[in-house]
Order: sequence, then C-alpha cells, then structure tokens
Amino acid sequence: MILINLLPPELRRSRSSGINPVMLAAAAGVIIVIALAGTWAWVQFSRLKVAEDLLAVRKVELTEATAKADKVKAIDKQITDFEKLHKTITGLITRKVFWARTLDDFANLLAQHGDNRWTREGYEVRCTGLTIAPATGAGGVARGAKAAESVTFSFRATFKLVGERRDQSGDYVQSFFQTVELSRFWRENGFTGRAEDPYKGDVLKYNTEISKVVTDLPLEWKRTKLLAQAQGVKR
Amino acid sequence: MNLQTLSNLPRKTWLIVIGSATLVLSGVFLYLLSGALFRLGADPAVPAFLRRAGDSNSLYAQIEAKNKAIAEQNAIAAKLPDRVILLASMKADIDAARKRLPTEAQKAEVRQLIEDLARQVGSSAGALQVKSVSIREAAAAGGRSATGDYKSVEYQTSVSADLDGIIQFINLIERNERFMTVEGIQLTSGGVVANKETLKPEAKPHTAQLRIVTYMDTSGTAAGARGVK
Repeated sequence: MILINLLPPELRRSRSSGINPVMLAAAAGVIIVIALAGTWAWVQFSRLKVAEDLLAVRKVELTEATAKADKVKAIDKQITDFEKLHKTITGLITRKVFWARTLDDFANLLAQHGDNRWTREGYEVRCTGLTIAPATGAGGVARGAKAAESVTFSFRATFKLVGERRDQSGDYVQSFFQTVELSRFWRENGFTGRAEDPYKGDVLKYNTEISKVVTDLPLEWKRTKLLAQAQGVKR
Repeated sequence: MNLQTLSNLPRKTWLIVIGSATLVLSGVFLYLLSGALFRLGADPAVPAFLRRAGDSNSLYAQIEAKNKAIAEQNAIAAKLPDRVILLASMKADIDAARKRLPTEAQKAEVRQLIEDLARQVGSSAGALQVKSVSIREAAAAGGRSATGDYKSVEYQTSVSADLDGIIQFINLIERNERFMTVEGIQLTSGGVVANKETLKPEAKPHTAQLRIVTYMDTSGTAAGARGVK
C-alpha cells in the first residue's frame, strides 16, 4: 500500500510517538549537567571535607607519636653518650701504664731484696737519677698496618756501680746487665730488647777515700705495652 | 526577541542551542570536578573510574605520608619499654663511669684529691710532702692528649719523700677510682748526709716530679648535667 499525502508539511499529522525531540534533548542535557554538577558537589563539599578532617586527625596523631618517639630518641642518646664514655674510658685504661709495681721491682733489684742477687759478688749499685717519659716519636704511641698499637715509655736511669776491685769493673758491668735481665723488674714489666742494648761504654773512677772503683752508667731502656682491642658495650 | 520568536525557531536551531548549552555546562562542571578530584587524590570512597592519583600535595597523598610517618614514629616509640629497662640496667655503670672522669668544674677537686692521697702515704722516713702542683691543660681536640670530647689535664706535681713513699703515692694515684695516669716521673736522689749528733749517714728524701694526667669532659651538655650531681 502506498500512502500519498499531499498536505503541506506543516499540516501533516505527525507519525512519531508524540515526544518533542527538542524537549527530549533538553531533558537529556539537564540530566547530564545535573549529574556532573552533583558529582562535583559531592567531591567538593563532602569528600574534600572528609579528607581535610582526616588529615587534621593524622597530623595530631603524628605529633603524639613523634613526642613518644622523641622520648626513645632521648634515651638512645643517653645510651650512645654512655657508650662513647665507656669506649673512651676503656681506651684510656687500655693505654694506661702502671708504674708503682715497676718502681717497686726496680727498688728491690737495686736493694737486692727478695730473689734478686747480683750474679757476681763485690759491688753495689746506686741509682742517682731516674726519668720516665713517653718515648719520643708519635707521642709514645706506635701504630702499624700489621703491628698492634702500642705505648712505649723511655726509662732513663743513671747508675753508679761501686766495686771493690778496680781491675774487675768490666765484670761488675756485665754482672749488672745479667742480673737486670734475670730480675722480675725486667721480665714482667714489658721492657724490650736486652738490658745492655743502650750501653755505650762507661767512665770509671777510683775513689781513694773509700778505696772503691765507681763506674758511671747512664742507660735508657724502653718499656712497651701492647694495646688490646677496646670492647664496646653490649646491648 | 520575545518568546514567540523563540518558539518559532526551527527545531534544528533548538537542538543546536540545547546541545551547545549542555556541552558548555558539562565542560565547566567537568573542569571543576577534575580539579576537585586532583586535590582529593586517591580517595578509596570515590569510584575507581573517577579517582585521580593527584600529586604529593593532594590530600590523600598527604594522609598517606602522615600514615607512613606515624607508623615509623610508632615503631620507634614501641621500643620505649625496652629502652627504659636497658637504661635502668646501665645506670650504675653510667654513674660509675662518670665518676671516673672529672668535668671542667672539678679541676680543683682533682688537685685536692692528689693532696688527700699524699696524706695517706705512710712512710718510715717521714710523710710525703707535696711541694707544688701546676695544672696544664691540653687543647680540646686532636693528638694523643685529647680523646673526642675529653681533653687531658696534666697535674705536674712535685713531691718529696723516700722511695717507698713515692712508690706508695704513685700506687694510690694509679689505683684511684678517678682515672689518673702517671705519664712521667723524674726522680732525683736526695743523697746522704751525716747526722751531726750521731755522725751516722742519713738518707735525705728524694724529690720526684710527677706528670699526673687525667681527662676532662668538655662536652657542654654532659658537663652541665653532671655539674648538678
């Protein structure tokens, strides 16, 4: 069937559903705009507010947590300071060289107390001067790539050997060095090398008033203490 | 232009107007929404297709950074009980260690200690006499004479006594609770003189120059804290 309508377009009856397309388009546009505006309003006035409040709460929580952590840090600092102090003291004690016993052994050697006996009879020894000081060079502290760290002191003494027989002054000197090396003073106090190493000769005089030969003997010995590794504080 | 004129506009024109208006308004709101989402950041309450990561200044990025920082601080704060117990267990050691090294304010105290120790020396040939004490301070840092926050202070002490007395004195110095070390000794023999009455030889007291070295805490905070004790 062919439908022929000769009426002008404005007088023709519409065959559509009756909804004005302009209204339809307007309604769709309004819905789209309202949806976008609503989403924006939700984010702008709801979610941002919630996020700002949450951030404010987190800031307060962080301040509180930081205050608590600062207490721990303060204690940690006290512990670190103590460890430093402990390390310093341990280092100082490790480097400390004790002289009282050494001098006591030295006095006993010269006075021939205890087990000390000159290997030869007929002479006495006097110490007329004694100087103990850190050894020169590196302030008495020696370090090496392989060698352990050590502290070295110079033990400089001037002796007078007073003997009965002039022709045996050499024997007295040799006996003196032998006795020194056998003594506890030499063996147990960290002296290095041999006692006669610094011996560069002597000057002897015969004292007619006392009828004795006096030999002046200036010597400089080295006393070395090897340093052990300092230990830290165990946590 | 009145309403009649508008109503007489062709439908096509209307559709163009409505479409344009929708487009413009949608663009405006999309722009605003995009900005708000960017500032908001990765909010889990926002649907995933809308969510934007934002930059480090976005609110949720800041919240995430704060959460991380709070977790770190809480992890440190969680150690508090252990640290308190550890510090309490170390307190005796700390006090003992602090007694060993004087502060700068205690220089005279060490000087007095040296004299006190000299008085403790008992000797058959007479008491040990302190003739003089001069104090020499090392530089605050560097060299053997200083150790970190500690600088060496040297008490150059001249004493007079027999050898036993000097050895006793050195022993008291070395064994004292306060850290002191004898870094140098210069002993001069006192010689022998004849007693005018008995005509017997008598030994005169020796003279010893001792370099007694201790170390002082130069760290200001520790000195202040310890100065109160």
